[in-house]
Amino acid sequence: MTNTQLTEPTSRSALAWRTRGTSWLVKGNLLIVFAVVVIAASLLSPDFLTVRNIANLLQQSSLTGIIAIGMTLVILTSGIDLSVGSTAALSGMVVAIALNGMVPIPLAILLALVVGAVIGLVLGTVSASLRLPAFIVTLAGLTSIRGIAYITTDGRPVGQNLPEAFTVIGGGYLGIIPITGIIFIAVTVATFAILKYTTFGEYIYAVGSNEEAARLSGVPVRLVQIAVFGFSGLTAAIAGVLLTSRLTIAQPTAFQGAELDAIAAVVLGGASLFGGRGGVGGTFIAVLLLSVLKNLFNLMGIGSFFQMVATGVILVLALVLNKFIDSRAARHA
Amino acid sequence: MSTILEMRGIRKLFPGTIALDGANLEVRAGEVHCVLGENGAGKSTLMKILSGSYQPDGGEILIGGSPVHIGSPVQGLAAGISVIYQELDLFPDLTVAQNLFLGHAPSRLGIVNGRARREAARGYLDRVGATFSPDAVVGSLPIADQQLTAIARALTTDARIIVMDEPTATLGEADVEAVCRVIRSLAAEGRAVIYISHRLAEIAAVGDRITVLRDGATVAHHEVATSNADDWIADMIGDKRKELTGIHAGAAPTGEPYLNIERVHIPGLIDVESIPVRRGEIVGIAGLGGAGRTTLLSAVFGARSSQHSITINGAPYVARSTRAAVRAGFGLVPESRKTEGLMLGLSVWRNAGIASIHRAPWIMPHTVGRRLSAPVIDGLGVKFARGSQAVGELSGGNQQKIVLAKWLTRGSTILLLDEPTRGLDIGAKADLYKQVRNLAETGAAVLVASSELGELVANTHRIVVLHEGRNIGSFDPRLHSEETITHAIISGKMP
Repeated sequence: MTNTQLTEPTSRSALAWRTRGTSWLVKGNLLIVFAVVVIAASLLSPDFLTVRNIANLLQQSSLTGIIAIGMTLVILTSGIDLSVGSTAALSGMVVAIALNGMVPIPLAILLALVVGAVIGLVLGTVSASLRLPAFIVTLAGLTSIRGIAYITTDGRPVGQNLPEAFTVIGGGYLGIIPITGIIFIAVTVATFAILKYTTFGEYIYAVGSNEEAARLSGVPVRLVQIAVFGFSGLTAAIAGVLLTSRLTIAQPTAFQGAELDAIAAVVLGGASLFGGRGGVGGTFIAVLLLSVLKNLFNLMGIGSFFQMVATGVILVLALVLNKFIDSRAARHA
Repeated sequence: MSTILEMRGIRKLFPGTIALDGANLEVRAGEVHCVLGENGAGKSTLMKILSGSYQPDGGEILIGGSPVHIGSPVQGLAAGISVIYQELDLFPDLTVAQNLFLGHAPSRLGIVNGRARREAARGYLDRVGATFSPDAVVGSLPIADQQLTAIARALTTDARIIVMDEPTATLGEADVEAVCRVIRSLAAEGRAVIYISHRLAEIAAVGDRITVLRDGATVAHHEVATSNADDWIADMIGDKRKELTGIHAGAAPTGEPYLNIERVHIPGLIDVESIPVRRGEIVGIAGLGGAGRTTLLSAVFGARSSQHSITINGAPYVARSTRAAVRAGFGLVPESRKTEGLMLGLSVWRNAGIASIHRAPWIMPHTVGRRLSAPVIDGLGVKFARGSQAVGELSGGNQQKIVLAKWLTRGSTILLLDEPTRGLDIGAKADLYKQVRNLAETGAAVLVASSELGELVANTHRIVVLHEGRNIGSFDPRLHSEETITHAIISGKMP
């Protein structure tokens, strides 16, 4: 209180301007990097900015992207979900097995989504109610759910004769836009709306920002924690169904390591692993950025081994940049 | 006996308050020197300066007659000062021997000689009269044995000055005796023991001399042998009459109790009976640190489990969870606003609205929270640049008002405030209490726990005194002097 009185009005507004400028930079920094990479890519290769290439890009990034959107909610509550890759694989198996068993398409998809959501809810309940670290609970989920995915068909791929009406979802286009891309965007927009325009979304930020304060404010902390894991399981299942649809076959080995790609995208998107800060917009851009980078490397003819190294380095650099801008903003605030 | 430690004219400023000004302490080798004072008199601050955790803003420290600079706890240890804190800073997963020699284990070429360590540990344990094995894992020992471990560890660094901050606060009577025996034997070895405790009977049993602190200054010295507890208490309280501001909360409202705490019991911690609070009434809860003020409030709020029988407006209320409490009309302003009260990274509006966005259809929380909280925030006179500003950027007083605003926005009818003015400057304190009084006038039932008796006297209708977990009685601040109440707080006896 004394501080505000002591500060000159003029310098205060100057400070406000500077803070606002920096916060814009914080929010816009990923977009700037994204724009730079896109421009670099289009200069380096005339093939980059072709409709085909961009459609391809969207197609490739959608599945990881959908998983990353669900992961964003978990990370916003300061949790982590390592089980998503396995859950996606199992859901992909479930939908194929159901379709092979002549279950109608909508019902088969619904079944797979329910399986994913239930897995998430169970892991979330175990973690939140018994106060076990989500890292360990979902790590256990990662191995055991992968095991279940193998058990369903004894390790064999399934679904050679999937109906075309089903396979068009993952492989089809609406005009020039891949349907999976549309679904990715739809999931992002829906999740954005949940976070921004529902009480549930506000509770997610509250829990991630200060769990104890949220609890002492009457926020149903455990329910929120369980729900985000359910949501994460659901988005993983969506990705699983889409992959089965696109490949017209389901493999229990699908989505190995997808959880790490998703976490990388969420963190690159500006979310804090300690919770309470971030959003799906950042994740969406980060998913595209990682995908464009990969695309750029391919166009430049860089081998995939080098790509892995470069992606890691870029990830760290982006985080360092974020942290740098953040601490500058904090100093000015 | 020669003087081993002298602290002269110690001064320590914290933003907004003077913690110490003119604190003196003179301690002789071979004595148990007790430091007494009310909550906030500056005892802990003085000990933190001695240990090197805080740097003084003035004054000097002499050890063995020569001035020393204690820049850090490591330098404090090197100067022969060892502090045993109330919350034992032991490593619960390590063994007793590992704890005793952490950082200075007998070793060669970086390899710890486990056998030498164990034997040395056994020697130190014998000296404090401990019978447990040096291989015992500390976390598995009873509290009294952990206390002995902490004392034994202080010996391993060959400390000449041992500070004990309320070492018996969590111990039962038999264990207290054992610890007191060890303290006497340490003094008999020629060490100086500085002993801080609220339990006056213990001080009479174990102490040699006493230094009394009040409001950050040393006000009296006593020989334990030639004085009694009433003398000490008189010095701790001082002449409060001139401090009385005469501002009172006015006549207590009459009528049926709205909140009636018939009993709250947590075995070993608190057993509180019969605290009725009427609508419009502000009831203060006074007590020493550890008397159970915070425990009582969090039990009533459902934040920790207890056996209880509580009614609201005559209907039974079960403190099942914090959610149930909030739904029943409770609002808690917790002791630590930064870690328990606020989501520092989120905006002013979002913090103020978080308890009020629970109604269907559960959409547009920002709009709803802002619409409901804006008039409240305005009414409280919170100063901030923008509602979208992170609440962590506000001053302490304004932050506390946002915690209050959270419950006013919700429309809570029973407010529990735990040390609501901690860290606030005088203006902000007065402002906060004004808001609390306004709130009571609108019909809320208010319970305020505070270690600042003066605040309670000036702002409450009735003061309930807690002593070692029990409410020993209550006072009407218009009829009783602050001295009388303080006497009851310290001695645990009603006049």
